[in-house]
Parts: sequence; structure tokens; C-alpha cells
Amino acid sequence: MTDRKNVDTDQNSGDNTVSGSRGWAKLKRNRAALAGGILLLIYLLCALGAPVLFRGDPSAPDLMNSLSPPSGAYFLGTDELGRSILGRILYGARVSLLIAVGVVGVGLVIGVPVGLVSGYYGGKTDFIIQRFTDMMLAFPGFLLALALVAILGVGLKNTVISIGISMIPLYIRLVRGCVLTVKEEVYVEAARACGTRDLNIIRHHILPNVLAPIIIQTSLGMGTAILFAAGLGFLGIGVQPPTPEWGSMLGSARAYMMGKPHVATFPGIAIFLAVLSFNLLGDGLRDAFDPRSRI
Amino acid sequence: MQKQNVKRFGRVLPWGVIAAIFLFWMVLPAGAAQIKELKIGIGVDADTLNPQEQTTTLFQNICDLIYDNMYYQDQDGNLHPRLLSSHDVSEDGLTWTLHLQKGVKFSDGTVFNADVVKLTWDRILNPDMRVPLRFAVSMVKEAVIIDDYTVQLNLAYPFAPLDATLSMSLVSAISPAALEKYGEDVRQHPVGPGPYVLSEWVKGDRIVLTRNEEYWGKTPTVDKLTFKVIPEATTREAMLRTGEIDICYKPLPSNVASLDKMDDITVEMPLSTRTIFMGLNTQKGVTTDKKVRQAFNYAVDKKAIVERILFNTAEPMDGPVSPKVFGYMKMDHQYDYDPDKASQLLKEAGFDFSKTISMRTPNGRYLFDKQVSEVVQAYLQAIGVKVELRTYDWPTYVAGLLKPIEESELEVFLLGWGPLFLDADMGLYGQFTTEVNPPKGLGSAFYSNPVYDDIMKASRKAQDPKERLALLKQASEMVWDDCPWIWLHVEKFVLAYSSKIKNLAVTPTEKFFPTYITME
Repeated sequence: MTDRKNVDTDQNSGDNTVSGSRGWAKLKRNRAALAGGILLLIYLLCALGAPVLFRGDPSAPDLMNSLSPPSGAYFLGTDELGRSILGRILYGARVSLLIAVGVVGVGLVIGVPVGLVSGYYGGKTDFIIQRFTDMMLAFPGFLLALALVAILGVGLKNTVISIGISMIPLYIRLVRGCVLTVKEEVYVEAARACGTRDLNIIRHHILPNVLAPIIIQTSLGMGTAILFAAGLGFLGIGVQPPTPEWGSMLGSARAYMMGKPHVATFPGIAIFLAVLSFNLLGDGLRDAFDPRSRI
Repeated sequence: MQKQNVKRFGRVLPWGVIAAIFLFWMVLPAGAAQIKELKIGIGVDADTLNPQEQTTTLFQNICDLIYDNMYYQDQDGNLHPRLLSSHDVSEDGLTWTLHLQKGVKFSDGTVFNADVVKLTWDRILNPDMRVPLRFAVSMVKEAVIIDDYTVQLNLAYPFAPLDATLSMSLVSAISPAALEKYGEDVRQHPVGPGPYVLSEWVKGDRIVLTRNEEYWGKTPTVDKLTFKVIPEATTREAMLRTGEIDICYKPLPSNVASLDKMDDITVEMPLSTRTIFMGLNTQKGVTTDKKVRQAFNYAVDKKAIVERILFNTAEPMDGPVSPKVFGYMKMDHQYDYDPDKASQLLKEAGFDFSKTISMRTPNGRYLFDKQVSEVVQAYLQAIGVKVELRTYDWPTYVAGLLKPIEESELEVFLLGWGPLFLDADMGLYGQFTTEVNPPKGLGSAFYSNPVYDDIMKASRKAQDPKERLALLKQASEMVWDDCPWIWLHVEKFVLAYSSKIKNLAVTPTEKFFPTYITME
């Protein structure tokens, strides 16, 4: 969760570009972040290049080859329906990327404008928005997503919407916190004194200066989104079969853990690495661009 | 002197022998229980232990241990007297006279007699009471007391398999004293005349039964039965392997083979009465065409499903009911896997391949149900039929099954049907007659065929088993040809237990009775 008292964007409030290049230099020196970046690159490659890397249908069962261990023909073995685990992990990467982007998209599109308005205008608007956010934050994120799935129903679209909604309050809080600091800056006061309209002030003076924490939160949020989606899939209420999805692969594999551990191991590793890549990168970005914040 | 002693000894000896036999006889029943405790790992906790309310086989099983049965139906379908010693049926089949066992007492001391049985039937037939399985005895109009140990059931229409129906937990009697004391809360405080008494029930953790010392029948050999709730099947299996529990209820099919290989574990899996099928809506959508339904049957390789997905913990269906029930017949014609024939039939039916069919499945209700549905989906897609699959949680799923045809969204859906006694009536009547089309019943394929209805009604009237069998065969052939289902498989009831246990009675109705086991 975000603690707004600790969010401080001082570093970026001055000359943004200088701080940006310094940040990049710092990021490049951070080995963990570099590892995260490389992992992320591999993940993106798998997701985008799945049809090239794996020829064939990842959802077509081949019962006669079910639960085969890793071999030359099946690099990571096959699952309970005889489908290639490699193929399903590669295509599953696409699904999880789609979910991650979708979820963060929902969070950004709704959370950022609402946070900007809440922080900039203050007063009653702020009060109402913040109490609403409090209400949503009262539920643990995953529980909120679960409840929303129960209301909306299962499937890819609803998974994205549910997890996306559960992430909105985080963005609202984060952005509002940053805006509270930035709006007191001299250049905002100057703009206001010149008679610049509120919308322009928000767009040209405030938003660019709160971008850094948003980008960091986006990176971390993608990791969380993948984890949440896998959780829903594991419980059987996420993306529906036979779409390859890491969480539901893990869920079905549970029954075969004793005799055929490879069926559960590989999707588990895939989830672990994808989430790790986003988290390492997110941490690195934070250290580089926003060292005093604690997200 | 010595002579006198011998004489006296000779006089005392017979008395001594008699006394010794008497003493031995007195001590024997207590001594017969050599087993202190039996731990049984189960997946879920019971909601109610009121036999009239219970619908889950496992808890009906526990009810049977507490309440005993009117009749006991063995593995082969033979009925044995329990709380009923016998019955007579009138010539028109409308009057059944039940003769009760004498000298039976509930564990609280209440006498089991005609009043109790009458009260039980009144409760079952009272529409204000929650009795989900009432349909199974819907032919009974009323129960009349003839004398202390005779009750007469008057039927609205003849129902030949009523004797087997009387083996169901549904008709077990609760102690009237307990009903008075607890009211409907008796579901938490069951009192029956059976071999065991509920001694502890820790919700979500365990149900403990102890031997009923006053039991009227043969004394049980186990002192205490502990049903331990262990939701994860793999955990249950691990606990059986390490000896923490003695019996593992329904281990995972994928692990059955490895459990069976172990020397100290016995795996028993009798064929159950439960049939698993893909219901096809016969009154709405693309599946209204018989040729399409037959095509779907040819398109699915049921043998492969049984072997590869279910690890042989099931058998492909070769008739509309389980081979375990009276009235089962293997059908002459079989829908063997033949995708070409399936495509041909679809072509003949003028099937619209652009349409997407919706398929529904529960997840975790039956053995690997989701996986089975996924494979059926793939088989249908292989002949060019577009299918969208959705999984549901069980309560939502059941609600969807019970909607009337106007509101029903069902097209293709996976379901199981497990008759509670060994007779084809519950399957053939309970799934395929017009009478049981939702919302009245669970015949969610909406199969409606007036000729079929007439045959099934006639079968209920037929008192002669041969005549009944001929009618059931006729009905089976008709419905088998019409294919309101994709006939998938008959499940086996899997029970894994320590090899030390001998003589465990396991039934095709998915029940097990540890009452008279021995241990090595």
C-alpha cells in the first residue's frame, strides 16, 4: 500500500530532464533492476513471439500423450490432456501480459484523473473521493477482486475489470499524495497567478511532475496483476478453459503433484519469473527516480 | 475320601461348565470389539444429520450408522431385513404392509414401534418440511398404523421398486423424544436406533461416533469412528500413507494406481450407480435435432476419456443406466468413436457450423469434471463445431439446471446422476420422463416423449420382475437411440484404506460400513 506521507517528488519538481538522465544512469548501474529488465524482455519476447516459438495449437488435447515427462518432442512435457506445457506457457504469457496491461490500464485511466482532481481541488470533492477510496481499501485487494468476479462473472474481460477496479484506489491515493506536494510549488502558483485554467495547470504543470511514481507503481502493479489473475485462474474463476492461463494450469496440475510434479512446476516458475521481473524493475525504477518514496 | 471328592467334583462339573459358558457369553459382546478407534479422512463436513434432509451420500452413510436402515441393500442388490422384518404387497400394488422388527430401542431408550414409523412418514410427506428427496417416495399417500408393529402404506399409484426405496436413508426414523427435545435442531443432535451414537461434532474438523451399547443387532466391532474433515484429497492420501488415518474417502483418480501399488494400502473401487453425461437440450437450440445429438455421441472417444483422464476409475457407459442397477441392459448398438460418421450425420442434419454452442461444467463436483468437459469440447471442435466452455461453482450451476424451458440457457452441460438404490427407475424415470423436466425435476435435457412416458409408467405398475425388465429394456433402447445425453461414463466409488482392515462393506451406492470389520 502507498503511504502518501512518504511520497515525495521533490527530485522531479525542478528540472525534469536532468533528473531523468541521472535516473537512467542510476538504473543502469542497478544490477537487480538490470536482471529484472532482461527477464521482462524475455517475457515480452515469449508473449509476442508465441506463435513463432511454438507451432501448433496449445489448446488441442492429445490424450494418448497425456502427462508425458519433458522430452525431445515435448520440451517441458505435457499436461493432463496431453497438451504441450511449453506451448501453453508461451501462449499463457500472452494472456497474462494482456491481463497485466488491461488491469493497469483500468487503474491508470480511472485512478490518475480522479487522484489529480481529488488532490488539486481538495475540500468536499477530496473528502468524498477519499472516503470512497477508504471504503475500497478496507478490503484486501484480492478479496475485492474475488467479490467483483462473483458479481460480474468469470472470463478474461471480467478478470481484467475486477482486478483493475481493485487497483484503482492505489492510484488515487498515490496521485493525490503527489499532487498535494506539487500544487504548492511556486511554478503552479505562478501559473495560477497568470490566470491559467485549472485543466491546463493540471495537464501541463502537475501531471508531468507526478509521472515518476505513477510509472513505478505501474511496473509493480503489473506484477501484482499477474499474480491476482493467476490466483483467480487457480480457483477456476478467472480465464476460462481451454485458454492457456498460468494460474488455471497450476490449479489443474495440483491433482498430479504426487506422481507428475513437472505439470505444476513449470507454470509455477513462469508466474514466479514474470512477477519477479516486474518487481525488480519497479524497485530499480523507484531507487533511480524516486529514492525517497516508499511504494 | 478320594472317591467322595471325585463324586462331588462330578456333581459340580456340569454346573461349572454351564457357569463358565454363561460367563463367557456375558463377556463376549464386549470382548468382540477389538478395535478401539477407526479414523476416516473425508473431504467436507456435514450440514445436517437429519436423514430426511440429507442429500449427500457420505452423510447419508453417517446417518445410516446412527439411524440404521429399514432394509439394507447389499452389493448385489439383495435386500436384508433391518428395522423392517418383512413386507406384503396387495395384488393391485397400492397397499404395502410393513412388519417392524420387535425389541428395538433408540439410543435414548425410546421404543421403536408403529407410532415412530407413522411419525416419520408424516414428516416426510408433510410439504412444509424440507425433504429434498421427497420425489423418491412421491407415490406414498399416507401411512396408517395397523398395530404396534405393523404399518400400512397407501400408494397413489403402484410402484414396484418401493422395497428397494425403503433401503434409502430418506425413510430412517428419528427418535420422537429427540424431536420433542430439540425440534428441528435435531439435525445437529441425531438420535437413532443404529449401531453408533454421535458423541462429538466439531464443525469443520471432525464427527465422532461411538458404539451404541444398547444396539439391538450384532454388536459392532469398532468402539469409535472418527470422521476427520481433510478438504485436500492429496493431504488425505498423504495421511493414509503415513498411517494418520485408516480410511481415505475418494482419493484422486490420478493417484489411485500409486496407492494401489503400496503393500499396506488396499484400494477398493466398485462400480457405482453414478452415471456422468453431457446433457443435450432436446427442446431448444441446435441439439433439438436427433441426428446432431447422435453425431455428438460418435464424436467423443469415451474409452480414451476413461483411460487417460480418469485413470480407469470409471467405465464407459454402454446403456442408459449403470450396470449395477436392476433393469440395466447393455445396448446392442454402441456409439463407438467415429468422427467421420459424426461429420456425416451433421452434414445430413444441415448443421450450422457458424454458431457457437455454449457448454457448461461444474469444477470439482465429479471426478475431474472440468478436464472431461475440456476434452469433450475439443472432440466437438475437431468435427468443426464451435464450443465455448464455462465453469461454474456448484450452487450457481444447480440453479441454472432447474430453470423452466422458457428461461433455460442450457445447451450442452456436464452432470452426474447417482441413483440411491439399485434400480433403473431412478435413472430412467427420474431423468427422462416429461414429468421431471425442470423446474419440477432434474431432467435438464428436457427429454419429452409420450410413448416413453407410457412405458415407464407401465413399468412402475408391473409387479412381475420379468415383465418390468422387458418394459425397462424397451424404454432403455428408446432413450439410447434418441440421445438426450452424450453417454459418457459410470464412475467407480474409490476408497483407499489400510490393508490391516478386513471385511469392510463397500456398496455401489457409494457407501461403506465399517461396523463389522476385523483388523489384522
